[in-house]
Amino acid sequence: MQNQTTGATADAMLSRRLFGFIYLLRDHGFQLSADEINSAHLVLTKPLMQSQSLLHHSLRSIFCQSKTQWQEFSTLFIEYWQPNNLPDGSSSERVRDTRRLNAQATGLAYFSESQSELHTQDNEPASIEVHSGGASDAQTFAQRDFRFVFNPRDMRRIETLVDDISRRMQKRLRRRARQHRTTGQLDLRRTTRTSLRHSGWPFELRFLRRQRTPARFLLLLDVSQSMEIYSYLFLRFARGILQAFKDTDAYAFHTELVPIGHELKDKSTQRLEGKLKDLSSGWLGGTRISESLQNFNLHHANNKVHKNTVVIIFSDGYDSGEPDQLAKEVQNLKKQCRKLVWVNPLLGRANPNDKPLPIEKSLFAAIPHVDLYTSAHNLSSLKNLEAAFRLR
Amino acid sequence: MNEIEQLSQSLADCGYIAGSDLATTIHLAEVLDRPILLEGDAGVGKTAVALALAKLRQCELIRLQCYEGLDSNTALYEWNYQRQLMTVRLREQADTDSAAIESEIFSEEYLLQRPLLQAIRSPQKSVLLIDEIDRADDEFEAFLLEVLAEFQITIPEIGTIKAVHKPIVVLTSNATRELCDALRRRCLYHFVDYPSFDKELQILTTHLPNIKNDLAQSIVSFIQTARKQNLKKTPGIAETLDWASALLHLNATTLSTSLPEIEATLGCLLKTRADNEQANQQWIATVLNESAQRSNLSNI
Repeated sequence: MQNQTTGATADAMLSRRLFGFIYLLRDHGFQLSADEINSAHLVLTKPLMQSQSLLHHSLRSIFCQSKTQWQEFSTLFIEYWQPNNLPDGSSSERVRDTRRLNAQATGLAYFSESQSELHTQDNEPASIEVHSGGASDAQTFAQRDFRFVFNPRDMRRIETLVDDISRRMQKRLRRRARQHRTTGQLDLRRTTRTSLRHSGWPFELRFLRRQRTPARFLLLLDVSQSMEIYSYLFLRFARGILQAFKDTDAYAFHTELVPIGHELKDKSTQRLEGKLKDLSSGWLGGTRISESLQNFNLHHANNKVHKNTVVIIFSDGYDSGEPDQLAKEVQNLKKQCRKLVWVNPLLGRANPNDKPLPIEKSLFAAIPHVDLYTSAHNLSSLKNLEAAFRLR
Repeated sequence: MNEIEQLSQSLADCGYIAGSDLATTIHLAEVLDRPILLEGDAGVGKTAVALALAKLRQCELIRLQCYEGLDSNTALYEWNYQRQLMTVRLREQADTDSAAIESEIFSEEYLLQRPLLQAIRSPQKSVLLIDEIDRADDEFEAFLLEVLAEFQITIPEIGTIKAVHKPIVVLTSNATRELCDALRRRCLYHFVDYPSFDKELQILTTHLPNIKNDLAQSIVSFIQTARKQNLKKTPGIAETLDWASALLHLNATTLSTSLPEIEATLGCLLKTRADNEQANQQWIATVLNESAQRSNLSNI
């Protein structure tokens, strides 16, 4: 009887410890449901779990849902269950700090070493903090300007949605191309041939079709200081587009032009961050759009742009060069491609009187030469960019 | 020896070297009846887990290879349309009643089982491998959630089929896109990383028992160093095994004296044009030097 009571007390203590650990994990962004807690509890009561390493492996399999969580879990586990074995310099606070810094970093700071700036941001109160609520906030979330996203969870959500948009865009454009193949004039000769395998019944129809060359995309991304808020998400979007479509390339520009297509095609986010860190030494400075475009027209346009290329420029138009020169370079680029689109995130930003911000003088001269001038300052407008990716 | 160690040993006997962490995940999947989600780069041995598990449990391995556009018909079941059509025409000639024709052509005889249905109807326990789930569409992921939750399928013409034995489900993903949270939550997660030196050496000597220890060590050391280089496609374990087999076939005894053989067989290791162009003689020499230094340090 006494043994049973001791066993029950030990179980209760173990459960209490487990709940303490669950609180710690939740505090660090792990989303744990009742199912997982039940499984963990079931595992914890097994005699096999007397071994700390097996308990570690078991709880890690049950509670982790991604590589990031997998990497953070060990530190949190050791801190909670074996605080004496914690290696120097690793603690849950450190995990939290790294996560917060990564998530709060806006623009290219995510990839670059400008951590000091982030520390200063840390001390300032987040005046426009907006908390996400659940399914009901989807509409406002889609309309929220990217510059108002400070919440780490929202940032991650936006990143996933941005990836999703590029993937869906690819799917829709491909489906359109596929559907196109089943319209037009019937190819009687090929239809008769395919009917042979169905005892002469014309089940598989074949259509005459014209050979169409698919569109190519070329993305030019402004990564200067003025675009800091948006450039990280545009880079992420560009990455999705590059991985989704063949024959797509990307260049970043600030005071000079940098090819980034090869780096963005890397499927490993970790490697990509490393590569961009190496590349981004001069980023977030001033902008010389006209010079960068001139450089592109002179040295890259011949190979990268042809009659079926859609060129998309992501920039706010703040240029330290002459407006006429920018207009000239835009005109030159337009002559070589099928369609030229200028995406200006400031276009969707209204001033306090709800009037659109005045267009930058240099951009004013260039706009008449572009086919589409649009905004992409929030998820909703980014989704509408699909029109820009169509050839016609 | 506890259950996990036993499982680890049994997997090793089946040709898969699993650490205690992966063995724990597999053990839990069997105890808790939950699918395993294995995530990691291509070629680190995710699919091999399912193969080894099927071999270990001596059960059938049912594989569903995912791709973009995969739909429930291809994954679950289809009616043998051509055969149904033929039967209809034959029965029409024999003046058979239309209701009889209908009940005949929608019977199990005309049902083409696809992997998910096959796993559910399997009379013995089976291993269901859903490979590269990240390649499938979101819609298919949602559909899979339903199947994995209930392990039953409803075919309108036949009725509901419930699994006699719940299969051991292994999902693999190369993390080319984010999977939905609901699917992740239903699975036990395991991240399969590139193996450590010792583990890779053990894998190599298990798969190629004829290889000399010196050569095996230098091959593994070379590959561990190559993974740290800026390569477009990092070589996985599959590449290590291919390369070692190729070197053995060319009778290479040590790496340091087999530069021509290394050059000739590097295609087994580096799978993109950019990586091959980068891997000139100088690159090979640098990697060889670094790997030799690493071996010396580890010996000290």
